[in-house]
Amino acid sequence: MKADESGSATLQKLPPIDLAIPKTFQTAFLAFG
Amino acid sequence: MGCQTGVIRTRVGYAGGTRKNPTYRHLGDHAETVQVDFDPEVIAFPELLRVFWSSHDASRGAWSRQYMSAIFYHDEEQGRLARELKEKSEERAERKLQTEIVPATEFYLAEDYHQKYALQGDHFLMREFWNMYPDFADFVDSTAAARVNGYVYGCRSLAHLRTELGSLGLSPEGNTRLLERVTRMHG
Repeated sequence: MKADESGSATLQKLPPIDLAIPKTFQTAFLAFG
Repeated sequence: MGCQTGVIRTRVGYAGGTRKNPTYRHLGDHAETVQVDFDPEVIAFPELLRVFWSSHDASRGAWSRQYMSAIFYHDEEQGRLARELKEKSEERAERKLQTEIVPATEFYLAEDYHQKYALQGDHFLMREFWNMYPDFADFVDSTAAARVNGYVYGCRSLAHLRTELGSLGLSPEGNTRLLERVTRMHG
């Protein structure tokens, strides 16, 4: 399999929700007890 | 937390202490902490804190720093919002919350076996995630893994799962497995 085909195949395996991550986000650090 | 709409990723670790490179067995004065990356356009920080306080009893004092309730803020706006919301929550509940609101220090990622703990206990679903994410670090950072971990843990309803099942990247068999698990918990 060529490199570009391999990359394409890998991308197709990823969950759609992981392909829609926004470029900007915030972070919180929470300790739940 | 992982299956809240707007949450992008969750990572378990240690924070709030002074010991360098803590581990679960050598935690020092750190607290078990969750890093939550979120899209503020979808879920605002105060809403995230409401989920935080509704998911544990913060009025009960911890017997060690490992299990303390805390918000480690990393800018003044987060600190201000956390203090305001804590005060309002205390007034509404008519009791003090023991949650500490302190500036963030270094966050140390916990060992692999702590990440997505509930999901890692389901070998059927994990086979699918290993296939999607051969590199464990990518698995830890995955939104889909955070969501499925949350559903396996029981934090959202069957009806909510149905709204996003198709976006989680599972096979038809994986979908069935997850639906069955959530059905058993929530009916």
